[in-house]
Amino acid sequence: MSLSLLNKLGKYLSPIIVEEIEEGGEIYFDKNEISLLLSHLKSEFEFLVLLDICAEDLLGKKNAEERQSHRYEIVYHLLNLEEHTRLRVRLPTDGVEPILSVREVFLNGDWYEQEIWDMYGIKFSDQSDLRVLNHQSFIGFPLRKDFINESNGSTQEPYDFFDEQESVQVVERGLRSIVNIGPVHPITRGSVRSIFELDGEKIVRNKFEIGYTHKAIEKIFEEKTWTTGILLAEQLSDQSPFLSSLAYVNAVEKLYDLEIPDRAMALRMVFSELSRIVDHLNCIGELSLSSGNETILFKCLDLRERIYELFEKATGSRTKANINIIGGLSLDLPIGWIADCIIHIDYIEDNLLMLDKLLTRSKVWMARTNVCKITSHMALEYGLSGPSLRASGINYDLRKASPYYFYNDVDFEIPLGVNGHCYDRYLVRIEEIRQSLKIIVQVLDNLPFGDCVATHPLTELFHAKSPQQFSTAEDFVKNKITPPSKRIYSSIEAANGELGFYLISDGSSKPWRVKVRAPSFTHIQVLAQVLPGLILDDALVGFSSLNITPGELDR
Amino acid sequence: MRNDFILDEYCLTTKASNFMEWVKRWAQSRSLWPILVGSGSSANEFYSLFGSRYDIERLGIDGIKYSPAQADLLVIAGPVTKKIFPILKNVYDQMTEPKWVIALGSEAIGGGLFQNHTLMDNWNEFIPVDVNIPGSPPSPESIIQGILFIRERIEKNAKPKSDIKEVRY
Repeated sequence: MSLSLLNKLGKYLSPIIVEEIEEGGEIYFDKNEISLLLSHLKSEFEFLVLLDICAEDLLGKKNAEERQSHRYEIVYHLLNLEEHTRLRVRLPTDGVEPILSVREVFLNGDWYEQEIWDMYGIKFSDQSDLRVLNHQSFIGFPLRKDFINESNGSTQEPYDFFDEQESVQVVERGLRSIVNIGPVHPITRGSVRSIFELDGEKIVRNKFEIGYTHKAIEKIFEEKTWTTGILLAEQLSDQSPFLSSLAYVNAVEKLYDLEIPDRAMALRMVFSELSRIVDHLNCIGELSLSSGNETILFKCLDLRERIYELFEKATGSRTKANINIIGGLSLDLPIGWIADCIIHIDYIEDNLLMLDKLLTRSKVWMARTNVCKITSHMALEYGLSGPSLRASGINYDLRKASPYYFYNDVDFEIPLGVNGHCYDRYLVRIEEIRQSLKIIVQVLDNLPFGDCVATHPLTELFHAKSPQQFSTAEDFVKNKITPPSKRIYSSIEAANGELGFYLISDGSSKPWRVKVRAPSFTHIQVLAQVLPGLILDDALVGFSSLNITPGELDR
Repeated sequence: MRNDFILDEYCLTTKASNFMEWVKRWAQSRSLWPILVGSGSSANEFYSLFGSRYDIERLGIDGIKYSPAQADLLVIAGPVTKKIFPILKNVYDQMTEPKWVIALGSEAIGGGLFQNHTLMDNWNEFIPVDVNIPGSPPSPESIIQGILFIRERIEKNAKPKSDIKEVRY
């Protein structure tokens, strides 16, 4: 399927070579008309979704290829939903002349380009000077390889959010008011500041500022070894740390070309579905909190507690299990865990029925959450993924589209929404919880026997030591277990959407570049488009229905 | 039961002003109103306290207040970045006296894994911390213990760190 598409593409772009890689195709494009190329790819070859734009600094890279006379490289990740094909467009640049912006072709390109300016100082055409993740008085570009921290001690200074003079005059005449929500707010979870310009109670326009919890995880990845990165990946999500570490570990295993045993795969599926349930429950709880329905939040906290108990029994930690290692799982299930799990699953299933009674068929809840419509067209334009995409009626789930582990063999369904309202997003989530429970029961019924860790020099080294994740760079070199030098993009279906890792290895014990493709970073952009016209109360309902996670939003 | 004895003692032997002082402390210690700044798994565990299992309401903490003027317990979770620090300081300044501060999780205390250019590593010179709760994330039991420490200190008439003048502002 995908091969014919790539062949067609190769004929169309004739002088440019389309290389075949594991995930699809790769184009090395060294001309300036990038926006033209991407709009062709979008209209003619149906690469409708822009997954990510990221940059790479090649300064001082050891295994530099021959055609690298430039310093930076911009990489565009595209996705064809119909054929499940991914395309990577690599664009070399020396960082001096501004690159043609693609924000008119793909609307979510805007923040990605802004982030590249923030991190690398590479300008795109018609771009403002505002930083996205770092604070506004920050000096320097942190992801450059020669970055030296010069802004020590300086903090963010106040600045005008709506920079136009006009809005101030409008406010002075008493026609409109400006309301600031966040970042210290239960719904924005301490990371998003949102400013609304209101006409009465109606939102005229709004802006989001993010980055309040930006911890430069991608920079720290470059300083740590491949194995220590697992700990960092866990910090990406506060509700489902297992899923985010799984995405990283999965990518590194692809890089090493390492096959993990069946039992590890099955257990990873169990734990990742449990994490997904936690995340969805939390989202439903928060949705009910923001729509003034606080009782449900406590019910969700109670159900969440059950799963934390299971995690504690299996791993010793409630949330951050830290059991993923490269090559499998560091622990096997304790005796009696499966019976406990079945009991808790029954409990959760019973209580979902109660949630159904209280919410799904409640007219008040339907009317309250019947806001914030994201059409399927808009969802694709902004590159949504996960439950938010499926709530708009587009059937795309990585567990079905490109199945990893045993998702091919288990029987489950993908719930879809119709209208793309908050109510649809709620419905999709609550149905996904049911499907996840179904998956867990099926996997536990047919749990394969055997070891949890693959036999590989890498795992043998870390399995022998007791705190298996901590390893020095010398260990890698001494035991000759450094990965091959290549680029890899790997993604899994996390609770929020497609969580991907773009790993660049230069053949050493540390990653050269790690880019996290975080779903929340895309989701918040569509919100700014949807909110104008709604009333202020609905804004918070819309915000919580997208389940924006600060860890992966700010990274 | 012990408190009832103390009540008898005060009623019989001390002046009314002393008794009122004691009542004030008793009331303060049993109605701490927290405000949560920050995010991440530590904040997540703090929310777990309000569920039915840990039921923090029995200690007098009735929900999180998102108005700093009403709160007297500042809970800081997750790393304090340079970007959020001015807001954190603003929240702290608006809080009512006596104010207590908890640093929740090792990221909040000293940055944890995230030792880099984004971290405000000396924030506790500006916002004095009363109780540090280590762990990433700390378990709900240890958060409850931290809150009980503060409660004990209020009962014993200890001053919060914010009253000590050596702190640089």
